[in-house]
Amino acid sequence: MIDSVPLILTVDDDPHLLDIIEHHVSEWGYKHCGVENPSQMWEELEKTIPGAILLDIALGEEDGTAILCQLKERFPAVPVLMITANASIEAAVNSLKSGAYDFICKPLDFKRLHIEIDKAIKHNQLSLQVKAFQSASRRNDFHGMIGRSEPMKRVYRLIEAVASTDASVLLLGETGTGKELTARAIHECSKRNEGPFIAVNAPAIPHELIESALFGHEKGSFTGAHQRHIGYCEQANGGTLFLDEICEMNYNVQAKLLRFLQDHEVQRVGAKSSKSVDVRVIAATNRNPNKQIENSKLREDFFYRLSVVSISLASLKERDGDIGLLTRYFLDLATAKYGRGMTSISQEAMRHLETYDWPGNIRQLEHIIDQVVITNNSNELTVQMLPDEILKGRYQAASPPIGVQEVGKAKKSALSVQKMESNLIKQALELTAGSIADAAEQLGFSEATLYRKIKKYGIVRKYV
Amino acid sequence: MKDKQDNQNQNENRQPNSKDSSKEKWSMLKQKYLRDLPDQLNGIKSTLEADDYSKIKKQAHRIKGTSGTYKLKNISKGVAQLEGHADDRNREAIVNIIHKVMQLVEAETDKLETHSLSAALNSEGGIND
Repeated sequence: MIDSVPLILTVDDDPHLLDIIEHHVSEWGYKHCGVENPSQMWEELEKTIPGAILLDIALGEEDGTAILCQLKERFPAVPVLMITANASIEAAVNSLKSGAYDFICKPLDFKRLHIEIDKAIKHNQLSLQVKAFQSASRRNDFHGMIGRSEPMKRVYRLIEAVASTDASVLLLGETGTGKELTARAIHECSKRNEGPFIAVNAPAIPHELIESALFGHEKGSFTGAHQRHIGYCEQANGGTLFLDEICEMNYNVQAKLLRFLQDHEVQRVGAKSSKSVDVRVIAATNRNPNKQIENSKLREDFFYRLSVVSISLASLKERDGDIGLLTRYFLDLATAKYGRGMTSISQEAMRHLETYDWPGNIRQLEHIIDQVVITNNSNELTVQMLPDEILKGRYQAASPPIGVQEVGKAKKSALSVQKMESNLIKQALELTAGSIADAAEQLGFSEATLYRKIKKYGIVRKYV
Repeated sequence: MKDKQDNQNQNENRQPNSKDSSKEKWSMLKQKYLRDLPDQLNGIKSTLEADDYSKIKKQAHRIKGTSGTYKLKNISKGVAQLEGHADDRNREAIVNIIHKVMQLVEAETDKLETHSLSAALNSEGGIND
């Protein structure tokens, strides 16, 4: 069951106070759990990680500040709001020094408590996201590509070699092996990296529209052409055009693309003249091109024109040692994306992940980690959380092939990281009412870096 | 058509809105707390027999915070004084305050019960109208 409502855990030795806090906290839309002593609190923390903890300083014979220190040691990310009926400056300072998020006096002012809980939860989610993002960014080994296995090292070498040329490249690999990511890496390493990167997924475009989508059309050139359309080949001028699943394009379109590869000229449908463009083409297929040629699905001349250089991407099971790296990377991304605190993986769970076949490759791994993080609010990914197909160690034909998702659902890691960074900056600015200095501190950036990133992502500061 | 509309209006009258039900819940919790307070105050009396002033302070401290949160200001203030007398180990003052706070608890209970009763009567009248 998906459960994204944060839990507020209150520790106070007066059950009547727990009653009234529960009454309010539930009205604010949070889940609540009230416990009367620290041992009950530790028991609860074994089961779930709360979004915030309300902790009474005077817990019968126990000292709340000492418990706070233990909490911060074991659950540093969870914000703890201290509550007390004795409002002394000394107690407040001691609590804050010991890592309390804030200090609230009894009698409780529920309007203030509501604001503080909301703030603490948002702050906690942002901190988790920043941490996970930084961790994910550090693992971003090669232009968003993760992996240190021999097949990947070979791919990195090939990318660097072809990036300095304008040669067409054909990427071969099973679904979910990172063909678009590889195409982006070639683009980013090349002198065209300031230009556009246009990705075209052929199966996603209806056959009757593909020519117009690729080459554009003039207004009125056919029924429904209400205005001029600039095609992908023209949009990619000065940059890179990535044609995914080329074997799904019909022969006629392949012939037109072949001509485009030869003379680098685009003629919009209905146009009287053609236009010269400077485009590098990278194509990809998950099928065996030779078989496709035999079956008349791929033009031989088009194939040879495209595969000046061809790069084969290894399946995940062939990438020895990369599953662990990728799992950690996707876990960091997912915890940041969904505001969860799952930071570790049990050895047994990792063993299952490493021995599974991964027919949907990296995309399937990403999907499964997302699924586990969304449906479990725990600090460790354990074997019990893994889907049956992983536990049984084989792919179940009955379940939908995760790697073959519809176009657009496939998240590209490099893009995810950039989008996440942009989202984190927006959240930090919102939380700090637009203060660059405060937001930069929260995010661990310098102010200059933050300014640069705000400009890069086109973020508007609403509160200034 | 009119009957249908009348029924609808009647149903709307019967359905307590979320604000009302929240107030009702708050009132119930407060009543529950007031019912329990005499036991807590008697607990302080027992502790006084054992001359355990530091425990008295803790017991009073707890009542001070919770009663204040339930907006029982007079009770909270009274118990705050009791906390001070525990520091001074002033047995007589503690006994007096417990007595006064007991009276405040009774008064608050009466007030709340009267309020609840009139609210219930009003609500019944609303249905009969």
